[in-house]
Amino acid sequence: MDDLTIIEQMHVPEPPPSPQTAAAARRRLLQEAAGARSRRIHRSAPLPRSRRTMVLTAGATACALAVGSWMTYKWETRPLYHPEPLAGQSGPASTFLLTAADAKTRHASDGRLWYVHRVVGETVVAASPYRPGVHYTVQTTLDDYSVTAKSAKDFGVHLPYSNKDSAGVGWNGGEVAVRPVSPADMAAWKADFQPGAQDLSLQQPDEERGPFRGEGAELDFDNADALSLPADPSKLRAWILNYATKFDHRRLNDPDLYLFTGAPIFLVDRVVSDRVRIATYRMLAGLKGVRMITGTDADGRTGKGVAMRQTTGDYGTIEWQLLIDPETGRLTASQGIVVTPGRKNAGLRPGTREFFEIVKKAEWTNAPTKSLVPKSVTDPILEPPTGD
Amino acid sequence: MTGAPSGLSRPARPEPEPEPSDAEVIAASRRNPERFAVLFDRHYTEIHRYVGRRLGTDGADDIAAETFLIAFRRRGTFEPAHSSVRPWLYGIATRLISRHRRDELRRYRAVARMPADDVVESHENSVAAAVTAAGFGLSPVLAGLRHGDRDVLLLVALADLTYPEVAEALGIAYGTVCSRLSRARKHVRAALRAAGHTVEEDDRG
Repeated sequence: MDDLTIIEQMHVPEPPPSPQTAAAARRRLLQEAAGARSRRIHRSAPLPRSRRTMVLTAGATACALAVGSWMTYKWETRPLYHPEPLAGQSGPASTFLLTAADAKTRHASDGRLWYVHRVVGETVVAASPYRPGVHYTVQTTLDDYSVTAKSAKDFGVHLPYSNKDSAGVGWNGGEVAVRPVSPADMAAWKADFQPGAQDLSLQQPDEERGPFRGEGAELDFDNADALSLPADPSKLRAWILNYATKFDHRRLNDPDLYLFTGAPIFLVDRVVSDRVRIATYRMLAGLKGVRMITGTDADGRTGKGVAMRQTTGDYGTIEWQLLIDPETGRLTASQGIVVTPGRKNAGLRPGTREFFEIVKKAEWTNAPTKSLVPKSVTDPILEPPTGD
Repeated sequence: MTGAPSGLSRPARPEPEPEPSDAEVIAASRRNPERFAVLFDRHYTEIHRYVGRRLGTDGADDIAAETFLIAFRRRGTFEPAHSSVRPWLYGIATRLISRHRRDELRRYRAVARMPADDVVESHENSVAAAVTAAGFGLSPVLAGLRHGDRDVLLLVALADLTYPEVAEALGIAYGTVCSRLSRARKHVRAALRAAGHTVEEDDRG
């Protein structure tokens, strides 16, 4: 059996939609269609009387339909957001972010490769593998690395069993680490002989950062887009929001929250120019609802940063924090702190760092690619053949 | 013996009218919006099944319905050059699924924690699938993939889209589809081999 068939079979089909469910969905669609029809009728001209008028009107209608279709297409694909002057926010958070932008400007650099090492983590409630009913709260962490070049040529290494045009690679380092969060959790964990992630049936932490998004698309743009992003803050803002709304074409209810939680993607993850990172800070400085904080990352380091809060039924209220080194303009950590738990994180105490990452390195380099990537990733001998 | 005896002729039956293509239905729905229901009737069950396999029934009920509403509102943007709306609908559904990433990961984690015996008992008709899931430990691997890589992998494996269709669905370059799929399958195959499974070649894509 091939791997795709196994994947297909492991996603067990759920029961088909009930007739009531399908009928309800169809009804919603038809209601929407009926609304569209009534709007069309209201726009229609009254029927002509004479034959000549009918011919003329038919011609005019055909032209109008063609123009109308073209205009509909243009209307449906029009960008919802346009570059406009950023809101002039004042206050400590805005000042701090502009300071970070200036610091990043002073430390701007460039290189052939963008290298990132971060530690991603999540806080979860684990069940004791030995004592029924006993639970403790632990942080799981995993080292995550990536090297991305501006082009396949710059990357310079053909990875085994990968597309020849690959311009980057990511990999994880080692096992998922487990650390109890409080002395009581530590005591309970030790009483179980310090079980690891596998013993506790814990998987690697979720790579996702930012909130459980109720709106907007994922910022999964490719490298070509990343390298052509505008370095003007207001243009960058419009580009991001248009990307977010391109598939359903609905304006976001809270664009500022979307931009705030997506910021680490530009500041750390992706191979964008430092000018874009500087623009990201300036864009953040124009957001409403951002406040200055002093936070502590998962390694226990305290630093300054900015935060926004999000409330959802699933995760209650979470404060999303970006910790930034004001001297270098480097994002050092991002994290989501539980303010009030919701349905899906009900077991976590307020103040828990539910989602987090520590940015160990995010920098341009001209080092040889192979010196950055472990041999297990680049050496085909260390990998079993794939059968391709 | 079947068929008409030789020498006898039957009155010619009128040729049944060919079904309009998806693109034709969309064009017609611009003048007659209710025509869009034809596409719902053609593809709703398939989209529901795809979402259900990723998020479960509750998620599928909501997302499949929302997919068609968005498609209807955005029908003006459908490229008439594409005769089928399947990739387009899968693309919308996948974007909506992306808003429920954590739920999807929780499902994988729940399967990973499930003892093999429980899995088999709870899905009478899916013994092979359950044994596969539990025995080869693929759930953690899929949970650990980058989101974009997993989307491509599942559009190929579950929706049976071709590479160009996946590119169309997600609005990404063909080469990006290839590299994401290649990366995802590398992880999956490594896990299968580690579990002692011999990976056979396939001819999909």
